[in-house]
Amino acid sequence: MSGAVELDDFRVELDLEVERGETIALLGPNGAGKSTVLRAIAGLVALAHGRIELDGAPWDSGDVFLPPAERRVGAVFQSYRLFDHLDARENVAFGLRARGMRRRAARASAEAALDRLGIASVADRYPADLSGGQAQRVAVARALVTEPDVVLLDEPMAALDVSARSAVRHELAGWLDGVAACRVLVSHDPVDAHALADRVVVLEGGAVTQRGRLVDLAAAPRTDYVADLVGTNLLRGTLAGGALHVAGGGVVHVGAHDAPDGPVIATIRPAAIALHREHPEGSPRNVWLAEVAGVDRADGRVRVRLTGAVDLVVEVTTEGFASLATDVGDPIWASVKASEIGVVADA
Amino acid sequence: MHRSRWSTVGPVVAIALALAVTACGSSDDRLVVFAASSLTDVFERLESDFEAEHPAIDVVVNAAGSSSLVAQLAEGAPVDVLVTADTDTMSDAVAATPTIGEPVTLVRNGLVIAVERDNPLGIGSLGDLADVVVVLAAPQVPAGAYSRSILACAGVAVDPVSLEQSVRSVASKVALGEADAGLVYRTDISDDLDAVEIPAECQVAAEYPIVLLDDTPAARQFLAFVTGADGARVLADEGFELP
Amino acid sequence: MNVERRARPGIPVPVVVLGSLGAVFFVVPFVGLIARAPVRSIPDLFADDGVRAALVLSLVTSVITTGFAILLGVPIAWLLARSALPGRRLVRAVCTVSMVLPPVVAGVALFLALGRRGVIGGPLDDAFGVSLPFTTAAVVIAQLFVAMPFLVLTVDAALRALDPAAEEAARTLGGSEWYVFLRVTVPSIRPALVSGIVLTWARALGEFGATITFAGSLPGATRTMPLATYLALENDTDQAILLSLVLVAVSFAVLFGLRERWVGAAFGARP
Repeated sequence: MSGAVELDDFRVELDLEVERGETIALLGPNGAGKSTVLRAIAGLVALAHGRIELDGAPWDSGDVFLPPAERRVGAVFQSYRLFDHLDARENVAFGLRARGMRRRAARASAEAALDRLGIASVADRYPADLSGGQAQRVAVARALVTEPDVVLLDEPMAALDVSARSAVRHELAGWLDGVAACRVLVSHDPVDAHALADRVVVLEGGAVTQRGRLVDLAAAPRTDYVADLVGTNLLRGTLAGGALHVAGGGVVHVGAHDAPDGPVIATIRPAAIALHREHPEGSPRNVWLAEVAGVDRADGRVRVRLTGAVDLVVEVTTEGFASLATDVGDPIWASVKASEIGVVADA
Repeated sequence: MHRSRWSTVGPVVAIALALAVTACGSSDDRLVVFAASSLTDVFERLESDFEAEHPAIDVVVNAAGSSSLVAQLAEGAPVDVLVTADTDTMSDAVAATPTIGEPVTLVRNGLVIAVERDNPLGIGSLGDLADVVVVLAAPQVPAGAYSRSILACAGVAVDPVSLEQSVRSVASKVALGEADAGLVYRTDISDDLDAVEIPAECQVAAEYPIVLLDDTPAARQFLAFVTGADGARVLADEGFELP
Repeated sequence: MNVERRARPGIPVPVVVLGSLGAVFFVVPFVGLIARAPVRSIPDLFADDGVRAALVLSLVTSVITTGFAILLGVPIAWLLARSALPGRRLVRAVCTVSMVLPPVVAGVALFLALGRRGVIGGPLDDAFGVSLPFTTAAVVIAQLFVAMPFLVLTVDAALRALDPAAEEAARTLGGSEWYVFLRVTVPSIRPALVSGIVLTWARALGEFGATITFAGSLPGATRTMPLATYLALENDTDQAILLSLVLVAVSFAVLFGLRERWVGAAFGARP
């Protein structure tokens, strides 16, 4: 698709191409317009201008608008939107019956689909009696059983318990693999993109800010959001004579690079920054005094947020952090080698 | 504590007061008259004439089908003067409640065939009623009983499309043009209707008895007014026959 | 145990007082009716042709009216709630007004529209010889005119309040507008739909003013139970009481006889 969707005062413009058998992830902060894009592809909202086509056949263009029922789309909504008055089997069979399949055949296909997703046992249960994970599977089965040309997934993991997510993510990847359709996934969690997508498109405030493979984004994030997404530090400033002057007043000495003087974006991996209780001796040319603003513990690692001349996120091991004996509000020294800092021109 | 008790009692008291106010009965300067529905217009005039002469007295007239008036009376409605459309209903009333004195005949009324103004279908006699759309009052109502006996007397078999609750409804349906003809009291003929006379041998003399039910000065004055010369003038003017 | 009782929210005293008064207000007339009923005459009542005819007529016409109300009323509600047709607000206002109109006035209005001289009735009579007043069809028309707005307004409100999420999902699954309406929308508004239907039927059953004005009152053809009851009041109070009781009993039987699953949902129980 390529075009713009306008919804009240909100406008989203983007260009998107997806191959069959390929999954792209639409990432972005809340309110960026990701769900709006899915709704436009599904046909629930019309483009203000532009076009959506599948294999050359127009779905939405100047003179053609195919209603959702005529687009072979399978959508899994964030809240699943199962039909409360139908049991799981009937929910899954809905799309088949709506398209004219006879009752018995539809039920059989539905049962097979539920079986493939491992929940054949809940076929007779109503949505109110299903667990979150079961409901999600029913929603996925319902979307996939009609063999759609385009599969849309809106924040598929959002409604699940955090602990269940990695297992389900893994399974979802398996179910999607066999489907010969274009797949568009919307998420705010980059881990979903990692596990399920081949390419990523980042949408911020209604426009695309970056696209490509996730690893490429991680190497060279172009916006704060993307940097945050891939978990790296991003600093904007002006490069002059090998030193980057950032907005906060700090100076960052950078190593070899091809960026000309002027506005640049510098990235520093959190793990490349070292923390010290006292001013460190030795080689790093970049040493800053900062205050610990926040501490997030994950398994085996600790991410420390620093504020000061340069705002940074630092990643150290749990043991390393413990040996610093420091806490929120304490002063701390941060150092990083110039060679660890990546620099690209700011467009 | 004080406030919460009032907030409980307050609404209850207010409602009780509202109910009490609406349940007023007749008082010395207020007169309740129940009159048969065919007397609606004439009693309106009598009411305003009487109130003009006796400004201190408020006359309230309730006009309805005679039997429903008597039913209300039997249930205890406070009435000072009663006029019904036939003697049978008056007997029911006398049986149901004590009266002051005996009922006397106030007026008489005859029935006619009501047709649309200018009689477009040219109905000339009771016999013509067999071929047109006819509405009659239900036999349970005095006018309906009279209608039935008139038709029986004339030997005419009529298939009415409706047996109405009151004779006024009969008149209005003919006036609206929905029915071609109906049997109504002569006094029910309005400007929208024309009357076709019924042969005298089958005519019925509907008697309207009047009786006093409450011995108050105002009620006695009203009865005297209505049965006296002033009342007679108005009644004759409206088409009723004096006894 | 004690703690639980304290924890459950209590009902303020004025609410209890007023609610009880209101409940008594509704119950006492029925008690009065039952108390005054001349039980001995009940078998005679049902032997009376006129009474049987009135009962059958009332039941048949009210059911037919309800059927038409669903057939016409649901589409009206759909248009009011979901379409962009001009004049929607006017139609909604007219529906409300016809509920507020005194039924006798409604009857006169029906005459002026559908009577022999009526705007539509006149040409109908001249061209086809079809005259509506004083027929059983007129009874249905009168009942429909006063009762259908209940269904229209109930369903309209329910459709407007409905979250479109489920319908959108159904559309993406390939459901046509009609399929989605029947298979998803209607089941979603079932409580409102059922209560609308029940109200409509009840209003049609009890309809008096418009019926007696437009359809007249002829035993067997147009004299429904309410008309028969009012006429009986003229000179046989006992019969009037019995007729009233019969109507009340029939209404109770229907409402309780309807499967709890259907009506219970309408009156608040879980479906």
